[in-house]
Amino acid sequence: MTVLSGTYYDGVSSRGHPATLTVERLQAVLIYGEQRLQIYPNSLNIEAALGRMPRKITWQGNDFFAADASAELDQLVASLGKGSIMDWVAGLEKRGGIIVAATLGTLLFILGFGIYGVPKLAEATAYILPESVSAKLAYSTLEKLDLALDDSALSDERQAQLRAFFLARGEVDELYFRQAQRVGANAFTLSQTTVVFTDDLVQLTSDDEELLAVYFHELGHARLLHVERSILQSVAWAVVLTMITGDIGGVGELVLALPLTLGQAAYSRKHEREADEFAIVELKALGISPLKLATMLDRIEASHGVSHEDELSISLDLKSSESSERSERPESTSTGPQVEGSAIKDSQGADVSNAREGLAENPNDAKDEESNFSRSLLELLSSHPITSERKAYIRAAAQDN
Amino acid sequence: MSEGLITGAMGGDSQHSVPVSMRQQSVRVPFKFYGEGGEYFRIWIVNIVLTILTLGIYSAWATVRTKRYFYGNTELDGDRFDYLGDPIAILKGRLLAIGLLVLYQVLVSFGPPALGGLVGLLLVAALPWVIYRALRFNAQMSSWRGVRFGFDGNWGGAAKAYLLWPLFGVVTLGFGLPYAWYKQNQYLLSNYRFGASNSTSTTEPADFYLLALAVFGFTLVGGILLVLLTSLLGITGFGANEDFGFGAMGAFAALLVGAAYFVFYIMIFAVYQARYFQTVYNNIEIADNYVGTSVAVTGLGKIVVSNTVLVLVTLGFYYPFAQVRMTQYLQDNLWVDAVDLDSFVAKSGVESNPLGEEIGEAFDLGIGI
Repeated sequence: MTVLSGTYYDGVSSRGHPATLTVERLQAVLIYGEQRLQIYPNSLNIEAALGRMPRKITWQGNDFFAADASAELDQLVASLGKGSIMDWVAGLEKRGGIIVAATLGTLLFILGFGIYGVPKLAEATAYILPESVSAKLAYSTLEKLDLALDDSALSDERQAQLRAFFLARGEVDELYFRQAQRVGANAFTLSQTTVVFTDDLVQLTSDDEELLAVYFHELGHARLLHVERSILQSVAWAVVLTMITGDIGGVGELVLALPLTLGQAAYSRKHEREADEFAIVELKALGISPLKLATMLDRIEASHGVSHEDELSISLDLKSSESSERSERPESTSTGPQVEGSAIKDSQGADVSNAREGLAENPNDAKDEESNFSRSLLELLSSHPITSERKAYIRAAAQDN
Repeated sequence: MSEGLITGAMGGDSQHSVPVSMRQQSVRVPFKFYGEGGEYFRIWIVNIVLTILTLGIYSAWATVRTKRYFYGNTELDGDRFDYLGDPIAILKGRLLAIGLLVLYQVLVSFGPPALGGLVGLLLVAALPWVIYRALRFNAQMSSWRGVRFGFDGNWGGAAKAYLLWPLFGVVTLGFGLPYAWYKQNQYLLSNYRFGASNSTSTTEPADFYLLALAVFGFTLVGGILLVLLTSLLGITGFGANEDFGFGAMGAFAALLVGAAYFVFYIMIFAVYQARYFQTVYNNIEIADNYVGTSVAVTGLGKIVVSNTVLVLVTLGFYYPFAQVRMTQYLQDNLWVDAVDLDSFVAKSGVESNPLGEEIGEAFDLGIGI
């Protein structure tokens, strides 16, 4: 015999009545106030435990009994042979070992999915995406970029000559030249169909093969669908995290944004290295030294007038102001138009000249001590590998031949 | 989720609003919340693992378990709320929704261009219906003392509240937006029902304009203070040129400013949330019972900021604790000035087309007040 205490609800009026339910093998009796209710034990339906909440016991009809959670109730469920799959779930929730294992398992799953699953998924999807989507994407990005860019001041002949020189060695649908005061020497890949060069970049060198090296880097981004993949990765991350944390609005989105940003930055660094590798292979195939790409990195750095050490603090500052500046930046992590920047830094380069002035006025003595910390933080935040590392990599690759 | 529940808790007879002094003598009955972070964490993590292992199928059961936990741990006047949703119905709805989305994608990708536009228009027309069905499903699956809540809205009302009025807000460059909020709140609360008693909202458009003003004012003042702080730290602020130039600055100062902006950004949400909660919950009436709240910007802000930081540093694993803390705060600051909570009667014959409910539940939009 099991005696359970709890509350009885008649299903018509809203007031509950303190009651007891006595269950025996052949009959169950519910007593509340003066009332006495006979119930057939086999018709009893006992809700699975959920935390320490009272458990609802129902039978035919709209009325029910909410039993205080107790060990006797668990025994009753077992003795009636009415354990359901939800009772099994409730059992899992009670076991500490299961909870620890579930937590670790989930952590590993999220990390594994983020590191291996999301890029693979994005890659597979990117390659089945129709090219018209990429063209549309590039068009809408260029429209936004053009708010900050002017028509190229290069002569038509020079543009045509470079276009022919590049496209004969690797095809993209659209190659644009633009004048960009604030961006400086740079090149962007807007999608697999479209690459943009700035005038400053073209004017940095008289050696067209050096420009070709940069073009191949951009072509690497284009051929490997980096822009498309970045966008798909953001979407995949958002879907996964939303599924896990439930539907969150407002502040929740902010919570989701940071891992998203960090994850994106990591993918993006990988993309830069891949694009460098692509360029190296293409250059070697044409018998051109990959050192020309490294030389261009030097030239771009010099044109932005900033050494690699200085970049550290600059990128850091820029990232901290990212939200307010997002609309200004052609490359944003999840919402804005996506661009794979070229040799050095995409729009971040735009701010470098200002930063240099600041540095000249206030020499920063603490820089060396900070640089280790800054470097690791930068590596985490920056979407591009530190330039000196890339140059070292390119030089090593050049010597392999 | 807890908001939906609280929404449900407010139904009422459609009567005209009565000044506080003229209300019948009432007793203040507080809401109580019994949930605990650690306890909910166990439920949450098991839900996640089972959802992953079943490739998402278990998510319907997970949803029901989560809702039941929050509803069942909320008490008013000695009795707890209940969530009665059927996981199978929810699963069917989700599968149907996924099917429709796939169908839409196929039509748009491979059909003639005109078809895509047509299907898009149909989707826009269907949206209010989905919202209304989701609201109704959620209300009907919520109960207290064995009496179910209900939602009597219809497609037309939802279309006005969620398409027409927001559009008006946009057309008026945002000046009509608080009015749209007002209209949405009216739509919700004039249609919620507990048993046979309808709820009423005594809000006025001015309340929502004050809300908008509070958020705008906070953003403006906070923004100015932050710019001042930034310049104090020796950083060139927003210069006349559009370049965002910074002087030399250590990583520490950068982090400090970053943290300040972070907190500021979260606090904008907190101001909005707290003021919205006050506006809505201080104006709900159901059968002469009035709901009231003492939720404040500072109290809510502390919780929202600390929750966000903790969720971040724990890679999301603090989330169930954050949810419980937030619900605890809201319930601790919510009450009913009750005249009579005992004689609500269930409304009979309210069963409705299950297909619609399933689709509604599938798009579970989390719309509530």
